[in-house]
Parts: sequence; structure tokens; C-alpha cells
Amino acid sequence: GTSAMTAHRVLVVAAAACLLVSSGLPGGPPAASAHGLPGGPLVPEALGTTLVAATWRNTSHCGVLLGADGRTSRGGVVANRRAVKVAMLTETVGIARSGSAADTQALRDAVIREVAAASRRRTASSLPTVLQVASLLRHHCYEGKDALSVSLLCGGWDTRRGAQLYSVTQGGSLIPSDTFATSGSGSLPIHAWCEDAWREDMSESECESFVRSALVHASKVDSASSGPFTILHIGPFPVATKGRSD
Amino acid sequence: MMPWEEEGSREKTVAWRVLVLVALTAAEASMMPWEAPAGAAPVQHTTRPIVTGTSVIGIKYKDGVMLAADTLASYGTLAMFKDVERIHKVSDSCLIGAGGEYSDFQKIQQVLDRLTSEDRNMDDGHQTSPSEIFHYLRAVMYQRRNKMNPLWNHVLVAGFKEGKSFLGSVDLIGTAFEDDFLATGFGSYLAIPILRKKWRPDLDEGEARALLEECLRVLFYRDCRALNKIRLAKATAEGSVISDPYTLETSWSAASFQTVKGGLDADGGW
Repeated sequence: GTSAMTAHRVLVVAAAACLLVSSGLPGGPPAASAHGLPGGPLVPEALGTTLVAATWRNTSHCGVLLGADGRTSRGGVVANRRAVKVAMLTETVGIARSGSAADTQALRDAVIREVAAASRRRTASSLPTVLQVASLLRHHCYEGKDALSVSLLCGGWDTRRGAQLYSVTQGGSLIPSDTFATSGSGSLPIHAWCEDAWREDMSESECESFVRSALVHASKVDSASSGPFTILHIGPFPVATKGRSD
Repeated sequence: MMPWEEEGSREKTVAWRVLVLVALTAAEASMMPWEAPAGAAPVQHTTRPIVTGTSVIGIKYKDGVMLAADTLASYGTLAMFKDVERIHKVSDSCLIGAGGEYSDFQKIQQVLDRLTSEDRNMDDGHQTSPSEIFHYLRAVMYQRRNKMNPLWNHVLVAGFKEGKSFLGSVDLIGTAFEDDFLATGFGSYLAIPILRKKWRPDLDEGEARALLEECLRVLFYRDCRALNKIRLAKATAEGSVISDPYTLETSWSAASFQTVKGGLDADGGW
């Protein structure tokens, strides 16, 4: 028989408001907006956000953290100073969104509906796998690549492969990661730091420190990123047992 | 005044409802909010790749064909994804490697996997040959070019079937040709001259591997978007296989690098 899955919890941890001293220089060219301006919607610099996601595991448990900054910018104006850019698509799979706010919201809502409809057609016991959800996202991002300005991080847990993290990039590439993933304009300055700082044997709280530090560093130098941050904890879940059928 | 408020509105309401129902079912069930309906204004397709791979090199050698590529997918100038697979095993007799837009490469893999899964399902022992795969891919790439919506890749197709090696190149506009050694991207400028000088048809596996590593090392030195973590792949009579990634050694210790001529007054070494 199937062993009981330990109760999983999903915590949304809203970081304390990050006190950032704005050090923006007066004047200078306005930042490229998400649509059509020079620099276009497709370059990393125009995806005004910082997303940092990371996996953690120990001998018995594993999980994924999806972290995002809280600033939605429209050109040089802060349209929303307490944006929430992470969401759950199923009970165990979440996303972090960067790119056009409208496109990513529409994609999120469409895939939540699609996954729920697909789940109703399956047997009750099987939740969608992370790869299934990520593949759905990738399909839309790829087929709609001319219309969409979207770059997502998709992370979660399933019985087949345990904790997983995927990047669904602008253009629709699906790239898995065993370690961490980043996206958005703020991801460029911190990418190398993240490579150095991520460790394989982090606990859940150490992983949260990693994600939070990365977001803080990014927000210091990227004008399109700022706190308060939202860090979604997916897990802890038991480490997947190999050989189980779904 | 609503349709149901008018005299004789009952019939009108039914007709109106039927009209709406027909319209809804006629619309594609899977239509996404950002999709334009068929027959809408002309679309301009994406004109630049976003997540890109750089060179791929292929050489024929004594036992078959070898491909090599690094494991980097760049995001503009950012070396973002350092452990991707840019060589794909299509079948036991055929490998493909590609640079260019990574999502389009994943699409090409799906398209070719459909070909080979048909082979599997027919279960008659026949396997599509590397040459057939190459020509099919050329047709696909050229057709997309004609629709002004290319698969933004430069692909090398390498294979070994019935004692014969195959190596061909197809690019995003459908240019296709075969040769004993080929390279894409920066490789066509930096690796081809090396291969022209050092390639022989009777290279053994060790020599072929050393030659490819030398080319990829030069590419790491001189291509900004290259990485020194690489994979090799070979197609031989034993089948096709892709190696695990490994790191190339590099040298920065030449005397003229240590003591730079002209010192701080000049531009450094080269």
C-alpha cells in the first residue's frame, strides 16, 4: 500500500519591509518598459524584477524556496510597491514570475485552470508532477513567444523526482536546475554570488537566508527591484523514494 | 431594452442563446488570452534568439563520427545555464548538436523524436537513417525560413549506419551540406582552419578526441560566449553515446602573458 505522505505545509513568508535607502541618480535615461521600447521586452534588463529560487535537501527531507522582490515598475515609476510575484499552481508546485505583469498573470491563471481540469480527468491519487506543470508553462511560452514577455521559475515536489526546479525562459526554453535559479533584471548582478553561496547541504532556514541575501543584494543595485520580498516555502517533503510508480 | 424584455422575445432569446453557444464552441477551446484569432493582422515573429548556445564541432574519424560542444546556454552576455545538453541522441545511429536559440533546439528534438518513435512503434526493425533525418530536418528548417519564422539554430547531424559515417550541417535558413568535418558559429571561423590542417580520415578515437578538445579550448580562449565545460559524443557501429560533462584545462602561463611587452603603457598581450 502507499505510505502516508507526511503533511506538507506551504508557508508564505513575507519578509519584514526591507529598509532600502534609495540612491538613484537624478536624471539619466528612463528604464526600458516591459513593452516595445528600446531594449525591448526580451532583454534581461527589461524584466524588472529579481527572482531567486533554490532547492534544499537533507537525508530525510527536501523542499524548494521561491523568492521574489516586491516592485512592479512601469518605466521609471513604481506601479506597485508591494507586489506578490509568486504563486502556487497546484498543491505542490509553485511559480515565480518575471516579465510583463499582464502576461505572467494571464499565464498563471490559465495554467492553474488547465492543470485543475487535467487533474479532474485523472485518478484522484495522482497530483501533477513538477515537470508536467513546467512543460505546460513551457509549451505556452514557446508557442506564444512572439506575443509573450515572460520568464518564470517553476519549482515544487512530486513523488517521482522529489524537489525540483525549472527555468522557463523568455522564448520557451525549459532548463532544469539541481541547485538554484534566478530571473529578472536584478538577477544579473547576483548570479555569480549565488553560484558561490549555494551549498548542497543547506537546511531549510539556511536556504531561506540564501534566497533573502540574494534578493537584498539585487535590490541594492537594481532600480527595478525592491522589498518587501515574498518567499514561498514548498515543503518540507520526504525525499522521493526511487522506484515508486506514480 | 434586453432581448428577453421585448414582445415575442422568447423566440429571440432562444436564437440569441444558440448564437452565443455556437460562437463559444466555434472558438478554440484551448485559445489563450494572448493568442490572435486566425486571419488577424500579420504577425512579426521574434527576430532574435534569447537563450543561446555557441559552437558545435563534428568530425568523422576511423570508427565513426564525433561531435563536441560546451554545456553553456547564455542569456545575452550572462553565462546563465552552465550545465545544459546541446547534443541530443536522436536514435542509436544518429546524434544532433546545435547552437542558437535553446528553445528552438528543444523543439527540434521533439520533432525528431516524433520521427523515431514512429520507427519504434512500427517495430519492423527499420530505423530512419542519419541521412534521412538530416534531409527531413533541412526541409523543416527551410519551410520555417519561408514562413519568416525560423528555428533559430545551426544544427550538426552526425551518425553511423551500416558501416557508413554521416556528418551534415543545417542552419536556420535551410542551408544544408555534408562534409568530413564541420563546425557552427564561432567554430566555423576558429575551429575549421585547425581541422583543415590536422584532420585525417584515419584518426583513432584518442586522436579525434584530442583534436576536438584542442578546437574547443581555442574557442574558450577566443569566443566570449564559450565555456570550458564540454561534452563529447560519438556515433559508431556500437551505437551512439554522449559523454558526461568534463572541464578542459587551459593555459595562461605563457612568458609574454607574465611579463607583458610594453607594460602599462601598451595594450597588453594578445
